[in-house]
Amino acid sequence: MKMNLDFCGIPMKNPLTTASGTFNPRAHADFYDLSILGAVTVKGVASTPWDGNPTPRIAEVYGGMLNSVGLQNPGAKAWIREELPFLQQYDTKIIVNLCGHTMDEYTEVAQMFRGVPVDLLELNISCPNVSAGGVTFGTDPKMVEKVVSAVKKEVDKPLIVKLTPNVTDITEIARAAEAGGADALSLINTLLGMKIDIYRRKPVLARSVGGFSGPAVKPVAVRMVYQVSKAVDLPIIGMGGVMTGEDVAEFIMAGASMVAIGTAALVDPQAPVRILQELEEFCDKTGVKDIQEIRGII
Amino acid sequence: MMTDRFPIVSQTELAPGIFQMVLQTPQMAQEARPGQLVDLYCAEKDKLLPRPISLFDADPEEGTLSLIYAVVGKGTEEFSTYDEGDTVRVTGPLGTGFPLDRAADMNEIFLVGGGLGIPPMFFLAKCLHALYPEKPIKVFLGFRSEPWIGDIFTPYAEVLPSSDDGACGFKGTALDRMTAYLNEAGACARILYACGPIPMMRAIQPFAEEKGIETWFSLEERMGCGFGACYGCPAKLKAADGTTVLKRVCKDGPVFPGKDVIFS
Repeated sequence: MKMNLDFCGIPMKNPLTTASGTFNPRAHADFYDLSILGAVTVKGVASTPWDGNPTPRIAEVYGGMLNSVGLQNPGAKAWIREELPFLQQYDTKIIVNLCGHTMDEYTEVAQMFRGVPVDLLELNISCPNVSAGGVTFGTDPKMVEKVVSAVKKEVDKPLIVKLTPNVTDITEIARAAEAGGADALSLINTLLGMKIDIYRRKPVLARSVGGFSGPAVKPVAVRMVYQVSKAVDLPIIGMGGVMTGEDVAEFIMAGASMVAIGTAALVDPQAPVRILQELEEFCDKTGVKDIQEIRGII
Repeated sequence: MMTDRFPIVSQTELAPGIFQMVLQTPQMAQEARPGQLVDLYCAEKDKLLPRPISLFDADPEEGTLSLIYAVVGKGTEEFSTYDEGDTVRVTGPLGTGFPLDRAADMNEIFLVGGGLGIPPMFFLAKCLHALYPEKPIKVFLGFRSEPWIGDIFTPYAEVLPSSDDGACGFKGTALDRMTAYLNEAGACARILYACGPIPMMRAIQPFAEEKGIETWFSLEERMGCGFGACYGCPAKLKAADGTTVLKRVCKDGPVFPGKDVIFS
C-alpha cells in the first residue's frame, strides 16, 4: 500500500506529522523512532527566547485538555544550534513552527531560517495564549494576507499557514492566507476554552483561558478541514483530536493531505506508532491502495 | 524509560485517603532512582492526562515499584479502586532524581519530607544508606496531625517527626524540628534533600543558606504530559550567570539545586 506523498514539492514517506506544541524531539525520541513519521513539526520558535505564561498552564477537561503554555521557546538562534542537529539524525522531514508578537518579529524569525536545513515552515498566526501576535493576527483576513505575504517574501522554503478555529468563517481566513502566498494550510489550532475550579471559585489556569485540544474537538476540526479544502486550492495538514488511525483517514477524506498528531502524543508518548499501524490496518481492511486516493472524497 | 500496562501486586490504604500501590514492573524497577516519578493513566477516557506520582520504593530483585499517593481528585480516586491483579498503564521512570553523589563528602545527611513529600524520602534514605552505610542520616518528617509513616525508615535513618498539632510529640514544622536539632548539634558538613509543600521549601532555602547547608529540592507543579513534551510544568531557576532559566519539572527535575530555585 502506498503511504508516501508529495507535499509542497517535499517527498513525505507517509501523511503523518506531529502538531507543534505537543511535540518535543528529545522527549518523544525516548519512546519511539522519529523516523517513522513523514515529518515532524516542532513547537513554535520566535526570533528571541520567550518565557511563556505563569502556572498552572494545564487543565484537564472532559474529552481533552486546556493549555496556556504561551509559546515558551529558546529563540531561533538557540533552537538552530541545539535542537536542529538532534532532529537531523532522523530520516524525517522537519517543519518548524514560527511565532511572533509583531509583523517585524514574524519577518525576523522567517529571515533567521533562511539557509537553515529544515524542510518547511509553518506560520503560527493562531496561538490563543499570547496577548500580542498569534491569534490576534489570525482572526482578521486583512492582517492574515499582510503577514503571510510579508513572511513569504523572506522565506526560502514552502510556507504553511496555521489557522485558528476561533473565527466566524474559516474559509475567509484560508482565502486570505492563499492570497498572501501561502503554499499550504494547517488547521486547526486550539479552541479558546476555560475551566473554573468551583470549590476555589477561581479559573484553573493562571491566565484564566487557554487552548482546548483533544478528542472532543475533532468534529469541529474535520468540519473546518472539509470547508477549507473546498474553498482553496492548497494542500492541507489536518489536525484536532486525532487519537486513532481511523481519525487520520477521516481527516484525509475531509480533504487533508497530511494529518498531525497532537494531544494523543501527550497522553501516550508512543501514539504515533500505534496510529500509523492503525491507518495501515484501515487501508488493508477497506482496500485502499494509495492513501491519497481517499483524499477529499467527501 | 517505557510506557505499558503493568499488573498491580497489592494496594493498601495506609491512612484515610492515603494508599500504597505496588506494581510488577521489572524493567522500571531496575532503572528507578530515588526522586524519580512515574505517570499513571486512568482507565476512564474522560481523564486523559497522566497523574505523576513519586517513587516510594523500587525492588529490582522482586521487579516491583511501590507508590504512595493521596486521593486528591477524580484520577487518584479511580486508582484507589484498583485491586490486586488489575492492570494500570504506567510511563516511567521519569525525571532526574536526587543526586546521591553530592553526599559523598558530607558528614551528615538531612532528609526533609512534608506531607505527600515524605514517600520519595524513603527510597532516598534506603539508597543513601546502601551507598554510605557509615554516614548518619536524619529524616525530618512533617505531618499535619497523627504520623502515618515513620518506623519503616528506622533501618536506614533516624526519624525526627513533627506535626502541626503536636500529635507526634513535637509541635511545629519539619523545619522547626531541624532547627531544634541543629541548636544542639555541632558544626559539620551537611547536605539536605527535601520534598514537600512549597512553603516548606521556601522556608528552608534561606535557613540552609545561612547555615551553609547544600540543598536539593524536589518540586511539584501541575503537569500535562509528564515526560517533557508539553512545557506545562516550568520551574524558574537562577542560572550561573545571574539570568533566569526555565526548566521542566517533569523531565529536567523534579529535583533542582535548592539555592537556584526561584519561588514565585
